[in-house]
Amino acid sequence: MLAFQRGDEEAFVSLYRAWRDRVFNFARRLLGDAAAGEEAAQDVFLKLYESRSRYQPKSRFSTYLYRIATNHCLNVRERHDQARTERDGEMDLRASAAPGAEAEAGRAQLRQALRAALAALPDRQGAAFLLCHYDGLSLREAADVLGVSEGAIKSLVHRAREALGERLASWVDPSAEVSHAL
Amino acid sequence: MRCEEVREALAAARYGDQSDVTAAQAHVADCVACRAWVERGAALEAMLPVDAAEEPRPGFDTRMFARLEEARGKARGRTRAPAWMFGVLGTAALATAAWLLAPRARPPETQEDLALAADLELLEDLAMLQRLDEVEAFATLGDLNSADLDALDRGEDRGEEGP
Repeated sequence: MLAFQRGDEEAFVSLYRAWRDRVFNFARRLLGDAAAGEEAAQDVFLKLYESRSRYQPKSRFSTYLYRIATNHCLNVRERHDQARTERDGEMDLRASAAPGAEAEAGRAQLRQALRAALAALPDRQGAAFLLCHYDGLSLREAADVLGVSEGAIKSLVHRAREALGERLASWVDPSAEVSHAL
Repeated sequence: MRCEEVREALAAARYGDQSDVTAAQAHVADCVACRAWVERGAALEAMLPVDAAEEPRPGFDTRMFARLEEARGKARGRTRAPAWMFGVLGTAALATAAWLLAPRARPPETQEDLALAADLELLEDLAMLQRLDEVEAFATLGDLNSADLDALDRGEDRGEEGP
């Protein structure tokens, strides 16, 4: 980032290639939709590009980038109807229930249910959980991204896992009638 | 520890914070409800990898760089002066640098100097003065070394046209 700040455009391309998939998947999961995730990821990199003159290496670059991504995606969530995500999920379920592919259909249904559950988490819980679980940030790093204390991030992650467990109860409960091939 | 504290501590331990895990595990050993919670947590943990990382759709990079190029174009457009102004600004800035930096006695007031002074007034009046740091000519000015300035100086001594 410092090289890019000094005018090395190739350095930005290197940053982009290194972080593209992580930013995309973070946005996809937080927004619950691949297309929205793509648009948001591009917005994030555009903001990163345009923030060149303002960047200060006070923390790790990952913290800086995830902060941009988190703030942007949470703003997008505020502007979009959550119901649209659930409608998209229903459509995907119908498409995946192809005859003769029961195991894969079951896995696809679980994936869709999980994605819907992640997208339905309250903003900061969802961001905290994704940062720690899927993006591998430490609790301290995730706290830096969200601008909260470590105690707060622990609470957010715990509540997110509780909410996911409740929403996916039929998939999680070993005594449930529906069997799920994982 | 209360059950809720234990569960939060175990969740934190999952992400690297081991500070309360010993006490939490001791509680779980004696608490049926928390043992059931741990089992449900393990089942949840097993399903989370189902949402594996994906790549964006084909064309994502192309669209990304098109947006970046558009942003760069807009940035250039906000600061780019009309061609004629750019020419005047560029040569005037270079000549000004040479005049200011070259050691010399106070020059006599020649027609050439009067033209240069007029251009300096132009520089002061232009709104672009506020954004000279974004104008390429000014960047070029910053790149001039002593050899370049000497060359400009020799050019003026040969009576070449000023700006």
